Amino acid sequence: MSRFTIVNQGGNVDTLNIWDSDYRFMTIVWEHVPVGSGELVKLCREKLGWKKSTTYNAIRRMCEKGLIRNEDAVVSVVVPKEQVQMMESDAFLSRTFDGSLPQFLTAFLSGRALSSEEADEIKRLIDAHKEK
Amino acid sequence: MDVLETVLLKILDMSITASYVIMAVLLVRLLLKHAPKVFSYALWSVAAFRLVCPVSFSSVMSIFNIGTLPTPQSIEDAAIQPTVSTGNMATMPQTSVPPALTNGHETIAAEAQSADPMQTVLTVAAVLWCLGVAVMLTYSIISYLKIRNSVKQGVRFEDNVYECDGIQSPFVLGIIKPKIYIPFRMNEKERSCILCHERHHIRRFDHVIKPFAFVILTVYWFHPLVWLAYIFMCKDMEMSCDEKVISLLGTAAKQEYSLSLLSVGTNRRLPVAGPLFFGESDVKSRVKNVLCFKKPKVWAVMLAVTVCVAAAVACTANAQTDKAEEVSPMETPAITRTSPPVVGEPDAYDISGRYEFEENVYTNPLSSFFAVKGHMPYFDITDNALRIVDEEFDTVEKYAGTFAPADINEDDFEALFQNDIVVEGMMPDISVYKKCTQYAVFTDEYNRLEYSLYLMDDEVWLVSLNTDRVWSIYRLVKSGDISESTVGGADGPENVVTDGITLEICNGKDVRESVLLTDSEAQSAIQDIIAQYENVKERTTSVNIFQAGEYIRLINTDGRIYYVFHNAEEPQMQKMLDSHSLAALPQEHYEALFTLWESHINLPAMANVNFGDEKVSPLVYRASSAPAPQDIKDQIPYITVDGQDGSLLQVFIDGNIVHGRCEVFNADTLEQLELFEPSGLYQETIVAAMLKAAEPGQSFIIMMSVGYAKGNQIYGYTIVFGAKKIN
Repeated sequence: MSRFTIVNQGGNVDTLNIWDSDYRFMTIVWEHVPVGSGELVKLCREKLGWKKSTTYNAIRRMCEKGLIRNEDAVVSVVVPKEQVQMMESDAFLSRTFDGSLPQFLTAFLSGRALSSEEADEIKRLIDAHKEK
Repeated sequence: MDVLETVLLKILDMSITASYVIMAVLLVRLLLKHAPKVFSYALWSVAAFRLVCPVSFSSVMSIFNIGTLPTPQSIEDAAIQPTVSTGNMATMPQTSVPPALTNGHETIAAEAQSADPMQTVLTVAAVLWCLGVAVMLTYSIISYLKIRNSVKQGVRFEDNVYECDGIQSPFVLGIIKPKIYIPFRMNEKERSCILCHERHHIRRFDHVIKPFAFVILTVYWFHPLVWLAYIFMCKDMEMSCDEKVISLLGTAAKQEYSLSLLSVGTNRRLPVAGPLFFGESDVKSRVKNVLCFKKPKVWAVMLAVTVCVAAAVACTANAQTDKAEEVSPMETPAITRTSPPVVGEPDAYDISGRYEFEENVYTNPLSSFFAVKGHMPYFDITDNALRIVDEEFDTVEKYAGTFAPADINEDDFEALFQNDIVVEGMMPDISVYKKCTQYAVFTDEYNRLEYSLYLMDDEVWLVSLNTDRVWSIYRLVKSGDISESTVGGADGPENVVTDGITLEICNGKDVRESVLLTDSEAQSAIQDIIAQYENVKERTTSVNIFQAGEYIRLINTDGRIYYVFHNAEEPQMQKMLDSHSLAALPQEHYEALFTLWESHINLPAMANVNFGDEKVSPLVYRASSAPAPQDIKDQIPYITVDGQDGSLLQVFIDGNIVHGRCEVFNADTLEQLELFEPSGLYQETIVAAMLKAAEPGQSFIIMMSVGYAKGNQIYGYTIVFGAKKIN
């Protein structure tokens, strides 16, 4: 999950959470706006490897978030790029295990998540390693 | 014995054989502890073979020659005769059941007197086994769908590598076209290490092997050793892959690579490693393995290979006995293995194909064209374009398509007509459709919107747009797939071969009349004429029908189309038709064909004119030979028109409603008052309005020219009736 900061004209700051992939999508929209949704499908196929339905889903989601507008199959932006700043991601901070499948299955099939102690131990192991 | 139970017995049989093989592989694996892991990985194929293949070859080298071990044959016997107890079958369902069986003996015996108790046990076991398989499959399908859903919005990084939200460690997904998914924002070093690793998986077909192994596990779900084998196989797969990467990147990359493993390992939150894709298993042992990995010495590799091959042969082969032949024959069908679940994303409704005009839903009042079934171009819809293919005139119009399905409601639909004079009852009523979708729009080369495609429940509507108004709406039906060869080409027959020659007259009044000539006399007369055409040149390839005026179109039995123009010899026509050889033929051919046609055309069985409660039977003539009003004025039947009457004027032929070009005359002076050319606003509607607005006491004669398609013929009629305004 990425964090957007939107600076309104009034100088207010809004924070909005969107996925990294949505941000990539928005980058394309900003670059080509105003753009026909069909054209956008084509662009997303080329640049992101997306299917038509994926692009339409993204258009819908971004409309719901109020970042873009889709009228008569033409996509235009509500929030211009200049008003937006990308914040640092917290994607790599979470270490909790919240698997929904039975513990034994996950342990069996994929090993379990490392605790931070274990991670530190492995880190020490790597650091101490010298090629003989 | 039930098929299911036979299969289960065979599975149990094979699982016991495989048990020894798995134990042997685990042992050899210990011996190969310091050898490259790829050998351990390869050894698992022997276990897989034993678990999959019901027959094998015999060898003295087989581990099954060891006296104490039961051969596959004796185990099968054991399964059928519960009296033989085999201690190491404790995990097998059938050995755990006999005590229970003794307790419930009376009940079972009462239920099925002649039933073998073992049979009942087997049935229960078979059901249990099936349940287990179902659970395993469900689990893998769910986890596959889950992961698949979470990577749907992955963003292409390069080639088959996608960056993806919501995943913490990289994996490979897909069997035919495997894709690598990695989390966003990996640093470049980590990423290149990880990609090297995942690509090697794909190169080695691990992405196929792992689901295959899981399918085996699904079948042998009850067998702890198979689970153990699966887990160790996955471990060996990952470690051997790690080793390969290290030997590719060089030992200097060890630390970097280990850090990459650690990085993706510490961030795991979701249990990514379902059966069908790769997760990072057991980071610590993998890191250790990577750090300790050295390029193996040649002798070590040789030794490892020897051990592997020996182990493989020993485990694969059956015991060599005198009864070797009896071991192999299969009395049971092999297990039907389910292929790994590959669940496709639901594709968009496949609309592409060749469409034909089926019905006119709406035509704009200002349109001068009225569509007739059977005489319309094809509509080819591809996944990015609309092509309108007119085979008659060898023309193809192409429009670029944008597919943006959007539901529409009645208000949206009505908005399309806001620029038009809408006559009540003409606008299509879409409230009868449950689901209305604007599926695609098509634009011309100047990016002007020309057509849009609607899906109305299961109907396909093509809406023709012209300067922001709806020009027409056709209901289309799919007639097949798009074939590239259907367009153009003067030499091949284009139409379906018929047993007659179609002769069609266009009289210049937008009415065409056609007749199918089947009698041999008429046919040979036409063939004589055609023979002369053939001498001149190929048939015409393109002609502007509106400039051509009167002409005859001829479709030969072989499907070839010919045109003969009425006034081809006039200088004006000569100039226009210069490039079309057929036009150069003498007038006499036109007349000969016309005479032939005239002698074959028929009149309809019945024509009616309704105007409210008024009904008359009008005079009916062929369109091309209708008399002038003054010659028939005494025979014309009249309807009376009441100014208050709000009802419609309707004309029927053979019970079918028809529309067409209307001429209105003053009944007294026979002066032509109006000429209403064909258009989407039915001319009789305009006539009715005119009659209603007339002064009381006025009388009119209405001559209506209609095209009427019936079977493969088109008839052109002139229908004549009168109208008197009464108040």
